[in-house]
Amino acid sequence: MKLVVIGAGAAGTAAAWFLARGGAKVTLVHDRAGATALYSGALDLTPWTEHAPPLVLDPDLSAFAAALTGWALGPKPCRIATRSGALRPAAGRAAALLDLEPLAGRRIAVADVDRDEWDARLVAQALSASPWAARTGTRFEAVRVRALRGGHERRIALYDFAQLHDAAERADDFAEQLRKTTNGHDAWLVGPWLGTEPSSIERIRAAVKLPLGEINSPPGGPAGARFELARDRLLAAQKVEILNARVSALHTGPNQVRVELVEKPALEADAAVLAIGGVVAGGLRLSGGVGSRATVELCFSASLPLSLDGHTFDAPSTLHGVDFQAHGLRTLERIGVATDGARVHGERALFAAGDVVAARPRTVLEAVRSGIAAARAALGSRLLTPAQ
Amino acid sequence: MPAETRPDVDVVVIGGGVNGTGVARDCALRGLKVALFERNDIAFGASGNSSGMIHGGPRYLSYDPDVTHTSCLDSGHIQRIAPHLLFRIPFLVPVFQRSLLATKIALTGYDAFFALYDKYQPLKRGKSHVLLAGDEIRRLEPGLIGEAAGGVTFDEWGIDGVRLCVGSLIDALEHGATARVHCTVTEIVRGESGKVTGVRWRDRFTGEAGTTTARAVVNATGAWSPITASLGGVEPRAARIRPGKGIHVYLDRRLTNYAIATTAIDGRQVFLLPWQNTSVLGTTDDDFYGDLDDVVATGDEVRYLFQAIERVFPSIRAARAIGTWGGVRPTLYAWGVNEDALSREHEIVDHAAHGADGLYSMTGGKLASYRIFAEEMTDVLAGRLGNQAPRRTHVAPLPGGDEQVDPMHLVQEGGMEAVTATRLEYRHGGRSLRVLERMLQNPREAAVVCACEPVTEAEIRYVVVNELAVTVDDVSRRTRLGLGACGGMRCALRCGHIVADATGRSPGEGARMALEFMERAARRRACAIGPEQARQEALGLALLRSEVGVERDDEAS
Repeated sequence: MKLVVIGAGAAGTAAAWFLARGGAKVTLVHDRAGATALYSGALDLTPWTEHAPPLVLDPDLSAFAAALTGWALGPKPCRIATRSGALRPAAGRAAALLDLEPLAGRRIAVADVDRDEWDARLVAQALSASPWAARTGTRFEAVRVRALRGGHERRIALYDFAQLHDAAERADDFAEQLRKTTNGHDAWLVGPWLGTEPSSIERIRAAVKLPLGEINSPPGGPAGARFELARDRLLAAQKVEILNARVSALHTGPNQVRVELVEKPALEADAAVLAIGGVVAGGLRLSGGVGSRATVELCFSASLPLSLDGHTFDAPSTLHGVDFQAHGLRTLERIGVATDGARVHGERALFAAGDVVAARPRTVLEAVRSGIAAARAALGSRLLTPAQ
Repeated sequence: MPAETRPDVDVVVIGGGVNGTGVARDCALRGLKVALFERNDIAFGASGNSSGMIHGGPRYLSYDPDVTHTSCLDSGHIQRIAPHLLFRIPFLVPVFQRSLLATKIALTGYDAFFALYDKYQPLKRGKSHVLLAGDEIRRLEPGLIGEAAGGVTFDEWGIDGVRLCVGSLIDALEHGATARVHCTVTEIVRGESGKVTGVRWRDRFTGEAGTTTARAVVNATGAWSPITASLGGVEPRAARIRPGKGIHVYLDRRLTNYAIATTAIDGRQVFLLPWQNTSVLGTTDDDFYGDLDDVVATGDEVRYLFQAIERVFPSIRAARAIGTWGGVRPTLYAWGVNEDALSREHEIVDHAAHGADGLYSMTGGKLASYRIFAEEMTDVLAGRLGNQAPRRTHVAPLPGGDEQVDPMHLVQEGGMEAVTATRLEYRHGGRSLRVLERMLQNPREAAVVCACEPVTEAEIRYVVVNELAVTVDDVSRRTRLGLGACGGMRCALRCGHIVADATGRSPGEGARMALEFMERAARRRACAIGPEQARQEALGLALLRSEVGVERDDEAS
């Protein structure tokens, strides 16, 4: 059985992993970074609230997290520090992030490093003032740490700065600086600087000998880059064929899918999983612009209608572009492909997962769960013959 | 009534736009004691939402050349008192191929017209017009569609209206004035004879209220004028204006070298203007009946402008709109006239005629003539109060206008990047050295908080301490923080924490201000979203949800 997965974010990766594990021959096509590459390191099933605890995990999610490596998932929810000053609950986290839950009531040092994107004093102030810290008596204090070599390191991109600590000598030196400036603190909270390789984080943690972790990543920070590295390793180990290409068109029949690519030969498969992301990732796009007949559509040619709030989303009857003042900006997040469960509505061999699906929460774990569900449905489809 | 006591001030000015701050400055420079009250923020209304030009008024040339003369002369004055705030905007008026005769008539007409305007250009250091052939136009602006038969250029000056208002107000404060921002006047108090004796006010943030007594009250509230007049028991119609809403769309970069003027479907003139580090598309003029505290451009207005420009500059369709401005002009009242045909003149209404001696309303006017209008108003006040001090607002420099600073000096001393230094120097002129001083005292403040503009922490703290900014929105208005393509996604929350820290408020309060700012800005973008910006909007929503969660008012516990 031959399957094509389009998209290599959390949904596509989970689908490809599950399919390959189930014995299918999988080709994963992807082009450019998507929403998962921009994620913050927090793992949610549904958007978080201060009061409702994050949802309990299912075994599929745990199995995927274990296979992927670099994700810490359950059984209990964790608590993550964000730059906005919230200490927010999450179902899980990228392992590099500091879990505050076991540190309730403790004194936590915030590494004060002269990076432009980072203001340890204000971050510490905001975190100390957050409801959870106030409730549990947890304190955050900025502690000066020398971590830069040369003024240029102040403004280089976050990923580039984090990558410096992949060099053992830099990692050791950073750990040493942290170790010697601690003053009776119980843990270290640092920026997203702990290298891009899992081994760098482990090296620094082992040397510091205190709980140590990062605050959440901003979009384009190291959290997304680490996911991509882990993904590539996982898929290579599963012998998933990865094709870096852009899809130009998708044609579906009852038992077959044909995926046309830009400047590469087309792919034929028994079924396909569509995990191209939503508007953020570019899987859905606003065509045209202000002053032209415009609508939201898939990023390649395919006759799949989009759906919004249970209705088919059509191009509005104007030659002058969609007015989001009338529709509301949140339309951009609710629109997507309609599915019956995991199968694309009205299709037999096409399945969808992640942000491209209408009316699903735009969260990482939901993407994983729907990716696995799509893969399971594709494998179980009675129209398909088992592998070999 | 108690016996005659000395009033708190000579003059109360209501309104922190270009007229109000202009009058406050003029009064202060002449030694009058003045207090200014602004309901929202400095330059919140039309002054901060204009096309951003100090133009010489070529449109008056044919029927009232005196107005053109005065406008050009005053443009020259403003260049002298605030050289850092002005930037040259060369205009291009393309003439498209029609019949041979019609084209020739159009070109000859423009040529003759602007030859006349050239006589006034030296008053404002403007350049003479140039008559261009079709291929020259195409070379200068390759984005114009190919049929241009020729055209003319003429020269104008751009300005940041907010910086102008802030400069005027700071100068007033430094000459003894006082000002309260986000403080609304709740009543214009009148004595038994009907004479105005002062104002009652209430701070809209703290709830603090009080009375300030004065010998005269100036209503400089622009489109709010009739409402303000009614606070003194005067009929709103006594200070009536014809409120004309004008919107602008701003695009993420400078798309053209020249400002391009063209006509909209209804024959009105509209333009695409390279302005600071953006392009501005404007403007509309429609009667407005809505809430003046919340003027938002609509999709129809945006599309009207795009439609007009795309006829001559088609690639505008692919351009990325990152925001809109809406403001309401306080045009002089007239019934039965099209918006565009309304006079742009100004008038002082002396409400003694309505029984309220000592109350004056400033109606009409435009950004380019604010200084003269303020001077005329101050002349009336000075006459009333027996003040004989000379007029000085055309020679005394505005803050930062007295000292030239080379941005490269800021680069070398403060370790700023060249763009950061150039933008800082533009906004603050010589006062950029004071921002630099903050950085040298605390090198951490050199951190670039908003990378789009860019804006440093030192500048944020500077405008909070020195320019009466108390919210993220206020900081944004003064520095253009968060007005780039990312809509404050990367900087607003941090700016909120900095503003809260600098004003002794809690970090939670800082985050709340930041969210308010982002929500307000998003509402102003929603009517102009194109493909590129749509992705950015979705990302911004996702990021906010990740940082702040689905409930925002969960800080109660």
